[in-house]
Parts: sequence; structure tokens; C-alpha cells
Amino acid sequence: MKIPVTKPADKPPTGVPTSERTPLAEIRTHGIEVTTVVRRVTPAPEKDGARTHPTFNSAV
Amino acid sequence: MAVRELVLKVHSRCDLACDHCYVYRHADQSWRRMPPLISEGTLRQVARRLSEYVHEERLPQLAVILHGGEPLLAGPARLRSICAELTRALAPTTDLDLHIHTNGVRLSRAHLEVFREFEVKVGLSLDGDRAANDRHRLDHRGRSSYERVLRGLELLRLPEYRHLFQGLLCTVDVAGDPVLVHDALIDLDPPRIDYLLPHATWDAPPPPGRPEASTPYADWLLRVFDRWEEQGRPVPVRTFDSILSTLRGGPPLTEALGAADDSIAVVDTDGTLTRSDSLKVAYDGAPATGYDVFRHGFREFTERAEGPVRRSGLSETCRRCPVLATCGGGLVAHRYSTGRDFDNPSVYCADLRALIEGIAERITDRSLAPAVTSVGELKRARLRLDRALLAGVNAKLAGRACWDEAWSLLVRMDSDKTTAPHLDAVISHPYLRPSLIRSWDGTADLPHFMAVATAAALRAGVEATLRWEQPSPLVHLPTLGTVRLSQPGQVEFHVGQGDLRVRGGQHSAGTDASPLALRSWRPLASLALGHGPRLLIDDADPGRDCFAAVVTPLLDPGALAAFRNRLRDAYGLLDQREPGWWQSVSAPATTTITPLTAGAGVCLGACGSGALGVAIDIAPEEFVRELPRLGRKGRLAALREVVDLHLPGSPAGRLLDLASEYVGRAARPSPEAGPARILADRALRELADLPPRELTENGAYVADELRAEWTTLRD
Repeated sequence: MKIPVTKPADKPPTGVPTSERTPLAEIRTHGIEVTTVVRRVTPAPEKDGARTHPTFNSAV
Repeated sequence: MAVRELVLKVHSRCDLACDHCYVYRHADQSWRRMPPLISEGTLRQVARRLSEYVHEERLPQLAVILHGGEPLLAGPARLRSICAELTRALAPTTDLDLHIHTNGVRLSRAHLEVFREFEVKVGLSLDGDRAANDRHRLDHRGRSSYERVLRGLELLRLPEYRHLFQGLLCTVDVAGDPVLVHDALIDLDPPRIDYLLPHATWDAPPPPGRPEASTPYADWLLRVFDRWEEQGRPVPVRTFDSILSTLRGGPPLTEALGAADDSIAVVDTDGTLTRSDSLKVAYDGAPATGYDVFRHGFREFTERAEGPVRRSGLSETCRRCPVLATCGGGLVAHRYSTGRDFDNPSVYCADLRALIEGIAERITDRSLAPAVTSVGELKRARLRLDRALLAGVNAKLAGRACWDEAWSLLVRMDSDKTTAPHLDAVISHPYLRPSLIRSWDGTADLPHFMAVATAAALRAGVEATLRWEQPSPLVHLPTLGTVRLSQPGQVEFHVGQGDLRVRGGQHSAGTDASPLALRSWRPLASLALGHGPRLLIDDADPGRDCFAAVVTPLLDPGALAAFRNRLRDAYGLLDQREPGWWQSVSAPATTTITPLTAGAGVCLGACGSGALGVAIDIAPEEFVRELPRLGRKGRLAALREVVDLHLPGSPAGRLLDLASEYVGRAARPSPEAGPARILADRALRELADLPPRELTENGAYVADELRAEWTTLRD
């Protein structure tokens, strides 16, 4: 079955020109650069999800 | 609080004689009275009590940490029987999570085979490089333990045992070089590290650093933090992660920084029960509770045996301290003095505060960002964030054939200036943000992101065929609409120039196509305002349920038309009252409106900014009254995603919220406008009175903006 889909009539908001932005495939997902970008929105770990034990003398 | 972690002392003696050991070298000498090895009878009783306890409390998981002294002195055979006994007693009723903490000197293949059999995770104590280690971690004959520990670590790092390696604990010695210590630990490729402050009290203060250093431990740890940052945080470091967590409003991750000790119990080799092992540094007998596994169950112990925190609480100094939420008063044992018991701040108080403030300062970007001064730059900064999060999704899903095809498509679209804006529009859709964030720290929802790729291709008019296993018959294409399939299953979406074809994919076991077919397509509606892009009316996205009020189910055509007319009237009234309102810096950057149930008013969503929830019966007057307040609130929320407005944990955050809220309320004539103006002034004055470095340049810019707006209101 084929259905027509009307694309949004407006030109979508333009972001950074493609020539000026890091290609999607080259965005690093580890390291301090990306940590800085995402740290404000990624949630603080839940205690149970932090995979550490609170006892000071346990094997972290 | 229920016990979640049991520290089980299986051997009370040690083959090392470390001079900083809290068991042997501090005030409490109870180890002298303990049986060297836990007896079979005591262990059986521990296992029986634990079994009763997990049953009574219905505990889904219990961690047992085999500890000492040096637990490896028990020998592989005895350790095996201990693990077997605990497993027999507990595994049928709870998820038993076994650990051991050792000095590593005797770690052998025989031990590791036992640990592999029972999935016992292994942590080691090591104080860094050879020089640092040899300053304290010597055996009873004064010989270095370094080479022996490294041999044990080599075994633990072999592929067959690597998964058991839990991490390294390092006791800080400020006489050593922090970078050398840290690098030596990192070179051993541990999965985690923690740095422990050497145990000390006000009666027995920590070893001093250089005479001119007022906070030598903070200075030492901050140099490690800087090194860890330079390295790109290659492994978790518990002390730093705990501080970073609490600075972001999360929980503390270690007892040393305020994590409650209520969930911990310690059983000595004679079966006595204590709350906290580290209290041994305070005075002889400090950990004693009078409880033991022969006369008491764990429930009775947890309900009645009080730790010193419950007895004395936090000191007055701590209660007034601005970093209390992150420091938690430090390790309880470190607060002790003979005169005031535990009613003191930590003996490391100045260091802890300097460490926390040092980390807060280091993770705060103070310089004025273009996103604060330009609405366009704010949009672009938020898009950079969404693209980084999308790259994180790829990191989670890469390697799955269907996703790899979708990712190639996304990369292609992203690199083409004609298609990139369409991809941008989909990934910056506010209801996608929660899934992007979940993917970063958890698992990525493959079908959802396949639908995202399909939506982007469809919008961009790019030819593509995407296939995946669809778990439900509804496939929502963000920003576009919803496909209803005849059934869940393997699905193939073919996207062409403005059309979409759907068919069942092939079964993996055979070649027969499934009868899966497209049943219907329901597009999302939109509303043109005469300025700016059309607003999407999204009553279908599964991620839209992010408002304080209840969202409506899918609207029928009549209700949708009525809602759209109501919105048109509301925006019409706004245009009439305030021509050009959308050009204001604090105008709501709305891209998407979701209908809420009647009476819900208008509110922002807890998703990405740009979403506005509007009640289906909203009165245009109410809409016009509320929008300025929400616009400012939305701007603050959007700024917080991409810039630092203040130091983490600073009262400046709350004051900016209040000032923004009251300026917004005072911006329209209403009975509350006068009081709101007064309250806005109060919040702005308090902001101005804060110490100078609480606000960053970005925060100061926003505060000035609000003050300027407030002045206009008064005039």
C-alpha cells in the first residue's frame, strides 16, 4: 500500500550550516568534549544504577 | 532502611602490615579478640539469618562483600565453601551479588577459579606506583608488597577473569605525586578507581602536607581530577563521580561523602554485627552495637541498632555549610573527637569543601556564550546537543544490521545542505529528547530510532528502505504522524519522494512474506501563525506525556479542528495585544503544541524545550496572560541545557527561577501583577547580593536582562 505524505509546508529551522558543523559520523561519544556538551541534560545516576557500593572499604 | 550490603569478615588477620590500616593501626583493637577465621558454625548462622532477612524484606538483591583482615588468608578451599554456603542459602530467594576485597598479595589462579565459579567480583587495594605503595603497604618483615600485588593483578586481568575485576582502592598520601599515582593506577586498566582519605579523627589528625598548604588533600585530589579530565575520564572514579552526581542533584555514591550507612551491615569473624567498620578509628569499641547473628536477626539489627549519625546527627557547622549536599559531613568516623563525640565537622572539613568547590568551579563554564545573547545561537547550541545525543544512540545501536543502514542514511542526510535541516527538525523535536537522553545512559530503543530515521527521510524526500522488527502495530514517525500496521512484526518502510510504502519483511527462518500491511496513516495537524514556522499540533507522539497535566488521547477530526481554531483565536488575541511579541528574546520558542485535558490551562513540558501543553478548552485571555511567564521559564530551561548560569548547587539557580517567574507574572495587567513586581525585585536584589562568583557571565547576563525588564515594568 502506498500513501502520500504531505511534507511540512515550511522550510524547517536551519541549524548550523553543514559546512560548519562536525559531521554526524565524527562526533565522539566518549571523552571530555562530549561529556561537556551532554552533562547538563544527562541525569545524575540513580544510586542503584551507579554500580558502586557505598561502603568506603568495598571494591568500589 | 534495609541492609543492601553485608561486609562479611571471613579472616581477621592480614599478611600485610600497612601503617594506615584502620583495622590494626587505629584506636579499636577488637581484632585481637576475634577468631582469625570465621567458623563454619558462624558462617552457617550468618547465611541462615540473611536468608530469613531477604525473605522477610523481599529483597531483590543483596551484595555480600568478603572482607578482612585479608580474606584470601582463608584459602581457596575455605572461600569456596563460604561462597557455596551463601549461594545455597540466598540464591533461591534473592539475586546474590558476591564480592571480595583483598590486598591481592596471594591472589592465585586457585582463588580466581573459585571466584569465577561463584561470580565473585574482586577489588584490590593499591596505593599507586611502587614508591607510593612502598611507603605504607609493606609486609610484617618490612618488605614491599608491590610486585606480588602486580602478579595477582596480572592474573585478574587475564581474559578468563577480567570480568571479575571490580576496581582499585587507593589511599591518598599527600607526600606522593598525585599524577604519578593516578597514572600508575590507570596503566593497570582497572574498571573503576576510588581514592580514600587516610583515616583520621580530631584526636588523631591526618598526616600534614607541606607546611604552606592549608588544604593538602583537596590540592592533591584536584590534581588527580585535572589529570582525569585531561585523560577524558577513562574510568569512573567514585569520589569524583559522587561529587559530580550530588552537584547535579543526584545521590551520593559513597559513605565517605554522605551516603547513608543504614544500608550497610558488617559481620565480624565472631558473628558480631556492626554498622560501620571505619568507626574503629574513633576509639576502642566504637563500632560495637551489642548485636550478633546468634542472638539477633538482621531486621532487629536494622530497626534497633543505631549508628552514630542517628545518635548525634550532623554538626551545626555542617548544617550551615553550603556544600553539605555534596559532602554529607564526610565519613562519620572522621568527625570524632573525645570531647564532642561525633558532633563535629569532618577533620577533613576544609579539604572536602575545597575539593567540592574546586570541582564545581572546574566544571562550570563561566565565559559568556553566544547562546545567551542570541536566540539563533541558542537554537544552534541546542541542536549541537541533540546531534551529540544522536551520536550516542549510534554508539549503543551500532553493529545491528538494520540500524547500521539507518545510520548511514542519517549521516548522508546530515552532510547534504538540502536534507540536513529536515533531519535537524526531527532530532530537535521536543518529544524525542527523553529517548535521546535515556539512550545515553541506558539502552536505545531501536524501533523508535528506526522510526526517527524514516521520518527524517520522508521529510527530506530521500529514497530509502528501512527494515526492522516492530513490536507494536503503531509506528509513530516524529513530527509527521502515525502509521497503523495490521500487526507487529518484521516491517519494511520504503520512503520515496513524498510517499511511503509499507510491507511485511521476510521471516528470518524462511522466505514467506508475512501478511503484515499498512492499515492507516494519520498525519499530525499544524497551525500557521503568519510569522515563523508552522506550529505542530502533536496529539499522537508517545513521548508527549511529559506535562504536569494529563494529555488528551488522539483527537477526532471535529475536536482537532475546534482546538486549532481556539489556538488561532488565542494567538490572534496575542498579536492584537502585543504586535511583534514573537521577536522578544523571552518569547516562547514553541515548535509543538500538545492538547491537554479540559481545565489544565497552559504549561511547559518536562521534555526538550519547544513543547507547550494547552488545554483543549483554553480561554484566549488565559493563554495571553500565561505566555510571557512560560516564555521566560522556557528560555531559562533551554539555556540551562547548553550553558552554565551559575555554580552547581548555588542558590543563584532558585533566585533566577523566582525572578523570571515574577517578572513574567508582572508583565501582564492582572491583580497579581503588583505583588509579583515586588517579589521579582526581592529575588533580583538577593541575586545581586550573592558572592561575586556564584553567577557566571551567562547568569549575570540573564539577571541583567531580567532587571532591565523589571525596570520597564515599573516605569
